[in-house]
Parts: sequence; C-alpha cells; structure tokens
Amino acid sequence: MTYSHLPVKGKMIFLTIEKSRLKEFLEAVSDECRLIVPEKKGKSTYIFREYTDFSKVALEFVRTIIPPKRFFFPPSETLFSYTKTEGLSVSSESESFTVIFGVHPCDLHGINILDKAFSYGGRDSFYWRKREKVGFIGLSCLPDKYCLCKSMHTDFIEDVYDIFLYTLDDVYMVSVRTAFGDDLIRLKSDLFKSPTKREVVEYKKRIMERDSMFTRIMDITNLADLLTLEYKSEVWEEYSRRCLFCGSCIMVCPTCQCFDVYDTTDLTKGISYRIRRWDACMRKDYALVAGGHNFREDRAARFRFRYLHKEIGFAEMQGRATCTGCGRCSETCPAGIDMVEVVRRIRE
Amino acid sequence: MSLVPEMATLVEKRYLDPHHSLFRFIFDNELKREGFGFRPGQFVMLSIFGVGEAPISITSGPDEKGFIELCVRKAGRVTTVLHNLEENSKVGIRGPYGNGYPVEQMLGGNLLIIAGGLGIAPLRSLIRYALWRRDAFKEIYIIYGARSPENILFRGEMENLVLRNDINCLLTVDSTYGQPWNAHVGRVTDLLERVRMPLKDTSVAVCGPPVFYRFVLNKLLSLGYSKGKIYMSLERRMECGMGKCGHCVVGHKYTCVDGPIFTYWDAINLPEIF
Repeated sequence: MTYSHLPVKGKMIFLTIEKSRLKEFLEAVSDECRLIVPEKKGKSTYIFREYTDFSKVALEFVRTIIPPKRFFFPPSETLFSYTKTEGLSVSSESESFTVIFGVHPCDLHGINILDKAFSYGGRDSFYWRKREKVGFIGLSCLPDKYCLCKSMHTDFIEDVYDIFLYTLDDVYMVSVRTAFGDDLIRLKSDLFKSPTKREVVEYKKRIMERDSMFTRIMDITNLADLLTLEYKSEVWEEYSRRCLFCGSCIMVCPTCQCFDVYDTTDLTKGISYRIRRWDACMRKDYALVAGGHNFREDRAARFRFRYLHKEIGFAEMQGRATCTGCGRCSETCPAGIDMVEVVRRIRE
Repeated sequence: MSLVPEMATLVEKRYLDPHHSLFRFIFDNELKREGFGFRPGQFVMLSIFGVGEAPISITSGPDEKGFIELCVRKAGRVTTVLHNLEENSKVGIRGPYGNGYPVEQMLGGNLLIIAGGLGIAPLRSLIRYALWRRDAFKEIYIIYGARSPENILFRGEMENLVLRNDINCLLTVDSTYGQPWNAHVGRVTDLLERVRMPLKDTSVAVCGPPVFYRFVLNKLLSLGYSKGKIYMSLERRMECGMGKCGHCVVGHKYTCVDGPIFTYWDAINLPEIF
C-alpha cells in the first residue's frame, strides 16, 4: 500500500457509511495493516490499543488517558547501541504500517503541532521513521466539562487525517482527505455511498448542536500580552505551592515533546544503549547544567514556564498556542489545578 | 539530522590547568573528517558511550581542517570521564549545532573580544577565524581575564597574541596569588577603558560566567556600545542540539538552534536570561 500526504484541502470527498457496516470496514483495514482503536479500560477511562474485536471498540468516548502520540513518539525508545568491538548500531526495526482509528479533532491538531516541532531545526529521523507510517481515521465527539477545544480553535480539523467520520443518526459522514484514505476506502468501496440531502441537513444540525454543548470557555484574546505583563504575578507563586510537580499534566499532553537522552549499560554483555524518554519541564533538574547552575530551580518559575510555553512560547514556531484544549491536564491533575482557572486568575 | 553521532578518535590531550584540558579529535570517517565545516561559536554534542552526551563549543578555528579541538572543564559526568580517557580512545561526535557568530556581518569592521575564564573556549575559535584573515578586519582587541595566572587558559598562545603588533591583546587576573605575572591585575572592565576604537563598526563578542556578563555588559553600555552589536554566547542544558528536547529553551527561543549566540538586545528581551 502506498502512502502520500496529498494536500487536497478544499476538494475533499464526502461519502457515507452505515453505522452497522463500520465493523466490516475496520476488519478490512485490520487485514491490511496494524489497526489501533480506542477501548474502554476502567470505569470511565479509555486507551488506544491494538484492534482485536469490534465489540470492544469505543465509538463514543471523550478522551483517552494518553494521546495517540505514543505510537510514533514512544515514552521510551532506544536510539542506538554501542560495543567496543562492533561500534555503533542504529536500531533498524522496520515499522509496520499503522492506522489509528477514533482520533478526535483536538488530538489530530496535537499531531499537527508535533509534526512541526519534530521538523523545526531539522527533521527528527526517529520520530519521522515511525510517523510516516501512521495514518489516521478521525472520529467526531461531543464535549464534556473539561473540553476546551472550541476556545482553542481545535474543535474542527481539516488537516492531518486521512479519513474523518462524523457521527450522524444512522450513518457516518465520511471525509476522505488523502490518497491513502482513498486506498483504505477502496478496500471496501461497496460500503460507501454519496451523502443524501437529508444526511447533509443532519450533519449541519449535529454541528450546531455540538457547538452549543461547550460549557467551558477560556478567553485567549491578548493572552500573550497578559502572560508577559503578569510575568511576576503572585498567581504563579500561589499555584506552585499547590502543584505537586508530579508531571502528570505533561505525560498526558498531546503536544508535550520534551525528552531526556541518557545512556545505560548492560555490563554482562558490554553493550551500552542510548535511550530517549519523555521528560517534563517541571522537574527540578530540567535546566540544570554541569557545574551545578540551575537556570530554572524555583518552583514558581517552573510552574510558570509550562504555562508560558504552552500558550505563547512555541507560538512563534507554530503560529498558534500549543494547547489543543483536550482537557487531559485538568482531568488528570491530582492537585486539582485547572488551566482555565489559572488563566482566568492571570486575566483578572 | 540525526541523534546518532559519528565515531571519532581522541588523538591528543593537552593539559591547560587542573580543571581544563584541550582535546583534539579526528573523525574516523574520512569524508566527515574532510567535510566537517563549522562557524566560530557553534558547538558539537560529544558522546562517551555508556556515559552520555554533553554539548561542547568548538575551540579550534574553522580554517583548520582535518580535526576539531574542544576545550573542556571537568564539570559533570561526561566531562569527568573525558578527562580520564587515554589518547586513541573512541568517542562520538555529532554537529555542528547552533548559529555561531555572524562573522559575515563582523567582517570589515572592528572586533572586540572579551573572555572570562572558560569563556575563551568558543572565542578562541573566533580569534583564530579573525587572525586567519587579519586584513579583513580593522582594529582587533582581545581582552581575557581569569582568576589567577595559572588559570589563564592557553597561556602561551595568549602571551604570543600580546606580542603581536597587529592586534591588541590585554590580559588580567583577579589576583596573582603569589604567582609570577607581569600583566594587569584587576577586572576586565578596567581594561575596557583602554580600548581605543571607534564604537561605530565595532562588533563585540563576550563570553564568560553569568556574573562576568553582568559587569561587562553594564560597562559596555556605559561606554556607548550598541546592544545590537554585542554578541553573547549562552550556556544551557542541551540534550538534542536540534530544537526538540526542550531543555535549552529560554523564553521562546531554543538556545541550540536560535543561539547559542544572541545579541544583547535579543537576550535581554528573553525572560530567564541569567
């Protein structure tokens, strides 16, 4: 199967598939490549995992615990190994082609942001080696009390995905964006039809309904100015006393990209490995340099750094705030710190 | 762009003082050895396998081909092991990274180089660049301060620069600590008073520890130098060198890609600069 990111903005193809026949389509995709789907894990938690059985696929869920980035930016990965006799050996495991089903607009925006981050200053070969072999079937969703995508302008996506499914009453409205998406559709082309007039009306009604369901709003107008003006605000100090600096908000963030690079040695075999793993800017020694100088030791400075960086720090490179409004950080925080509240306090 | 280094061999170790040595490396790959080009002020990521990786600025000049030299302080895990390596040991090197000094903009003007302590490491590369094409610059001043005479790194080289009459090289130490010394004793800022060059057309390259920057920058401003022509080299934790791992971020800049060389104007507009 070939794969190409064709820019087809503005000339996307719309089709429909009956909900009862989605199983046949996913089975066909899973026969062709590795298929990752959302599944229920705990009482109200969901995770992405390998497809086994259609009955386990979650079709109505708000968010997974960890965003889909781990399939191309794993929490920990070996970059290369080294032995005295054989020198360097770069792991060259061939990645199997993967399709991730059920990715919501906010997470697709997150992937778009990571794609840019891992291209800035040169393409990251370890990221792109995996990322280039991942396709996405997006899925529409309804917000819960943590969802902020409307405020962050990530409630719709016109990019990144190959196929996107909008849930209607009896069918999914299917947007096909890339040639690869078209390849997938053609695995079972008899399942897909052109949308009827009634379905188009229903799509519009659904969009309006969803739009009115957002209860959480964060005003990001002039936020860059405010964060700069309130750089020394006591709000940072106050929240940094509550924050546990556990890094949970960072581990679940779809756009956190920081990593740590370190070596580990297997003494019995005489092999050393270079590993990279997710890192968290809130850690105390994150900005520590050899010799002992720490450029960001203070708790309030570390707390503030995350906010500044999410909202304005990367904006120059990304052209937008790197928060996608997925709500994971607010839902996950064991200290109950809510980004919306922090930003409101800064705005007051 | 890759996080995988090239194999290189440590061919020479030169003792400078109890904490600093100069290490000369050659790449094992012949194409890399001949093709490795860089700008003064750029850095490499040095790997000691099984120990880790550290960012080190390049100390040799860009016109010296076939090898690179790194002046390294024994400060952390990687650098301590490096100091204990024997000649002919294998290491990994990747790079060069960072922007380096904007030498094209400096050409044709006056050059003022101010180093404190190990700050001489990246500036030695710029000095060698400028002396290689001496006629391309007008006046050149080099001011170098260290704690004591035995802490003057590259002492022989620096004393040879003092003897040259086509440049002005001024040395100073905080105190002689009873060691023989016939140059200035006192602050680098004292020596700045002795610089006789028109401010216009003068590029200033400063590198040293944080407290050194504070004093020197204040002095330079009071003497009337433009913030846009003062170039600083920032030190930060770096783990990738490619603008991704996040550790070196200052404000909205990646020190490893957008820096490490920043004008004073760009730097003061970044939060958390010191």
